[in-house]
Amino acid sequence: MTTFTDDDLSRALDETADTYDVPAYSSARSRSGTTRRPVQRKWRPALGLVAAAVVVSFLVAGLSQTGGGGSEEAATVSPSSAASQGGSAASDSSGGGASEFQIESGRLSLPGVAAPSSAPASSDEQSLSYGAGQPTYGIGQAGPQGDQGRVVKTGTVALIAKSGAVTPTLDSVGRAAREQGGSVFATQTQESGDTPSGTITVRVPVAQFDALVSAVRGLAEVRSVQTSGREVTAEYADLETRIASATAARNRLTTILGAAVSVAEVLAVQQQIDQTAATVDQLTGQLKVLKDQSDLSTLTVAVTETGDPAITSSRDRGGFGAAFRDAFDGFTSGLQSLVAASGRALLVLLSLAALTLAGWGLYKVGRRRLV
Amino acid sequence: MSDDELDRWLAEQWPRAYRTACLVLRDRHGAQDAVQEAFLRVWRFRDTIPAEAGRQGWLYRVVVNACVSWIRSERSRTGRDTSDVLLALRKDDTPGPEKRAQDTALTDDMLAALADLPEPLRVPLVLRFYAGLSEQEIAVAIERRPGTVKSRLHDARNRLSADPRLLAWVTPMEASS
Repeated sequence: MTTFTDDDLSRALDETADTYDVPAYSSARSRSGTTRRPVQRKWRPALGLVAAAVVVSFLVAGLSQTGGGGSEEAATVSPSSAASQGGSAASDSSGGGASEFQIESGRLSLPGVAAPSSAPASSDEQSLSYGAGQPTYGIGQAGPQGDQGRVVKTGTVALIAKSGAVTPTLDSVGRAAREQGGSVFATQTQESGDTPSGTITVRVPVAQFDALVSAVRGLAEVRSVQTSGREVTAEYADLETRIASATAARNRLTTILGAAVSVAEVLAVQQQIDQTAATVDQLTGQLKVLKDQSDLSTLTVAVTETGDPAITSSRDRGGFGAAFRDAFDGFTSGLQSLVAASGRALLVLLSLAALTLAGWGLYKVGRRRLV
Repeated sequence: MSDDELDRWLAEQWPRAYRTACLVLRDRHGAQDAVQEAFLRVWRFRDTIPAEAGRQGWLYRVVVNACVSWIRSERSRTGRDTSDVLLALRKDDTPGPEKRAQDTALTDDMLAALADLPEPLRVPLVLRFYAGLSEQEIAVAIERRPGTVKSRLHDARNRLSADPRLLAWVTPMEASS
């Protein structure tokens, strides 16, 4: 057998290649221009995709943060929107400028009125008498719906009543609650000074909560409305499971106690039984509180008169001043939302990047080199 | 390397790179397109050109990639391999000098034998014995390990040695010794 030597191969390939006529060299420089490393056209779609991915990530993160929470929701209604949504409230509205009432961390701040959760207040006249040891807020849908869809709902409404109408308005709120199958939980009024005010806390079945809020909106001019809901179904089910488990353990220990012989054994088992019983009692108490919170919703209504200095001053601040303030508030809140969404957006981006890398790897594997 | 130096270097490399692509692709027009595209890539990414030692292998890696891209596009466009257009694409259709006509039979046999080689064997062979790249440079060019290159060169040589059409190219043992 003959074998090609290196020289044979080189000679054969040289002579074979020489049969190809070499065309004139067209300078790559002249074909590409003189600029160095321009963004290649083929990368432009990729850059567009990256930009789109960033935008989509922020949108997804924003949506999941604002609307997609699922287990917890909160809404603040401005006076104007409240008036438009409140039906007859529109007729009571006197034009409503920007409000001095602020909703922060789910609490309503009213001039001269302490928030329910901050009670007792420093002022004796303003202290609120909520049921001692009782939860301030809480309702749920547990009653008619069993353990499915348990939600703790709370809300606060700030109303401005006409002169001398604070007490009648509070009475109307109580009456509306009773009409919805609820009851008055606590009331407080302040008659001293030129600006009487008062608050009332009512509890109604969760199914009637929205109807009650709508009814309250129609009683006077609405300054602000805030409602929130928290899904507690899983927490409730977990408590039930833990109670059942602890109860079973206690029963087993009781059986063991019957078989104990020595004093030391009896004491040891009894100690375990006591601990288990304490756990059962604690969990049962938690379940009772959660059931109460998810059975009845709580709405706190604060009523002030039109002559309230804080309200008057806020009304004076209208026109461009209010517009600029609204614009600034919108800017800061938007910025906060953007920063808050950046974490989720980063997570989404990283996920997309990982998927892209995996896809690229599969693409490279699929397109194995021919040589 | 300045732009002028790079342009001169590419001009020097052009003939051999073009003929290398011809032997790989067996298509004059395809080879011209592929090498022009490769040189354009080199120019655009001239900031990343390696130092003198690895420059040749890097250039041929770009050329080989351009050839592979051309083969893929040609296959997807026509749905056929390029080997069946071997002879038609080897030379200009115009008649050549008399000596070239006499050599045509030999080179046609060589081209036919190359066409019978699968691309994983043909490319290293052409790069080694025509472009003059070392095994290390070929490994860089085709992005394979040097051991793989050595093995493929060995297989390619054996296949060509067993091809009876190429006996005329083989130096007799007595003469070589």
